[in-house]
Amino acid sequence: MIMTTHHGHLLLPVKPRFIVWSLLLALMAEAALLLGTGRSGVWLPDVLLLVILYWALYQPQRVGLGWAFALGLCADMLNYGLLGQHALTYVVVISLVQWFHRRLKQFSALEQVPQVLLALAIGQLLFIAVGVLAGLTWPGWASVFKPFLEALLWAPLAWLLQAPQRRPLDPDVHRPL
Amino acid sequence: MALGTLDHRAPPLFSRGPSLLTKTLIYALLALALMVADRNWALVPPLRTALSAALAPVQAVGRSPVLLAQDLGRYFVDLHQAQTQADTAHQALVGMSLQQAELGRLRAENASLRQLLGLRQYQLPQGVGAQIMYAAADAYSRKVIADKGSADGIVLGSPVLDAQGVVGQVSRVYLHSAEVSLLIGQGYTIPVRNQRTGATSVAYGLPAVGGGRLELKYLPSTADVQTGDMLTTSGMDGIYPANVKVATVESVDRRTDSTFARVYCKPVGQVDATYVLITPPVGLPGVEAQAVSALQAPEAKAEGAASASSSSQSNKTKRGAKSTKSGKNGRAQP
Repeated sequence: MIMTTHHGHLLLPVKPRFIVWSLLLALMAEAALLLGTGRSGVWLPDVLLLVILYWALYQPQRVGLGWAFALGLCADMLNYGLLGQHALTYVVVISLVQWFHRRLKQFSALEQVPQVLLALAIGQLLFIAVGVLAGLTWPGWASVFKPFLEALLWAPLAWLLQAPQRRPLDPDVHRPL
Repeated sequence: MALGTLDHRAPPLFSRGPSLLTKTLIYALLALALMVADRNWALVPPLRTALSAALAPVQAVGRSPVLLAQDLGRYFVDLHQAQTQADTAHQALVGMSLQQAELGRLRAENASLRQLLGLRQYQLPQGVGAQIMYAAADAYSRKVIADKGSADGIVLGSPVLDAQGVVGQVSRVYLHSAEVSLLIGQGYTIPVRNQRTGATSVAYGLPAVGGGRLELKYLPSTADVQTGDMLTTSGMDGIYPANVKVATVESVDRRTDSTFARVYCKPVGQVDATYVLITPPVGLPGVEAQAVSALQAPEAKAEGAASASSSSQSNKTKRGAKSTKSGKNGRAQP
C-alpha cells in the first residue's frame, strides 16, 4: 500500500526486514550506551523505545504490544535490573501511542513531538514509580530529563527511519504523476 | 515498486482480534507478575539465564565499538605516565617482598601455635582475579558486572575484595559474567568487627546518588564507637575471610531521645574498583560453604533456588542452613 504523509510525499511500503534490522540495531545501541556510561546514564534517551514507538505508530499491524513486551524484557536484561520493569513501561507507552495512532499520523514529525513527549513522560513516571515501589532507590533527578531528550530525538529518528520509504525524486516532465 | 515489499499473507480470519485495552492489560499484568516473581520467588532465574544467553551476541556486537574506543584511549596514554606507574608498582613490589618474607614466618608460627592450642587451622582464601567491566545501568541498585562467571568457578555469594578491602558480594552468576552487589547497595548487610574494641555488629548498605555509605544499626547509644574506628570482617558469617578491612567510622551521632546511636561508615574498598579478587565463601564448620553463601547473598530468596537447580549441591543442606539461620522452622540441622 502506498502511503501519503502530511507533506504529500508518496511513500513506498516498508520492508519487514528493515523493521527487524532497525530494532536489532537499536538493541545494540542500547547495549553500547549502557557500557559507555554505566550508572551515570539515567538521563540517556532510550533509543530502543523510540524505534519501537515509531514502528508501532506507522506499522501497528506489524509491531505491536507483543514486540514491546519482548524487547522490554531484553532491555531489562541489558540493564541487569528488575525483570519486567522496562517491559511494563514499553507496553504502556506503546498502547498509549497506538490508541491515538490514527490521530497522531495526521501530524508531521515535528508536530508529534509534544504528544510523543506526553506518552514518554507517562512511561518514565511509571518506570520510576515501579522502581520506588519495588523497594529500590531513587535514581536521581537526572532521570527526569530522559523523556525530554527522547522527545528531542523523535523528529530526526522518524526522518531517518522513513528514509528508505521515500520515493526517489524522478522529475519526468513528460509524465508528471 | 520493489519486489518483496508486498504482504503475501492471507488476510486474518478474525480481523479485529482482542482489543487494544485487553492486550495492554494482559501484557501489563504479565510484566507485573514477572516483577513480583523476580523479586520474591525463584521462578525467574532460568528465564534470566536464557535471555542472557540470547542477548550475548547482540551485546558483544553492540559493545565492540565502545570497547575499541576505550582501548584506543588507553593506548594513547602518555608514555611518561605509564613509566611512572610502572616505577611505583615496582617499588611497592620490593616493599611487599619484605613483608612477604615476614608473613611466611608469621604464618608458620601461627600454624604451630594454633596446633598447640588445638584451634581450627586458618585457611588462606584462594581467589580468582577478575576485571569489573562496567556498572549495571540499573539506577536503582548498586551492582557492577565482573568478567568471570560460573565457567571460571565463581559461585553465588562469593565475597569480592580489592586491594583495600571488601567491595561486595556476587549476587548473580552467569556463564561468563557475574553480577557483584556493592557494599553500599540497598539491602546489603555485612557482619563486621570493630578492630579497636573487638565488638561485633552488622553494617547495612546506605546508597545515595553519587556515592553511598554504610550504617551500623541497632547499636545502643552507649556503645563504644569512635570516629575513625576501623571495621573489619568478623569471620563469623562463613562467607568473608576474617579481618579484611570493610569501612572506617565516619560519624557517630548519639541522641538523647533515641536508644540507638547512629553510626555512619565509609567503605574502605573502592566502590569503582577495576580489578577485584573473587574468593569462594569461607564456609563454617559443619555447614556447607555454598549453603551459607546462597542464603546471605543480597538476593538470597530468588537466587537460592537458582543455585539449587543449577549446582550439584544437595537441596537439603540449603534448607537446613536456612532454618538454622531464620530459626523459624525450628528444625535446625547441623
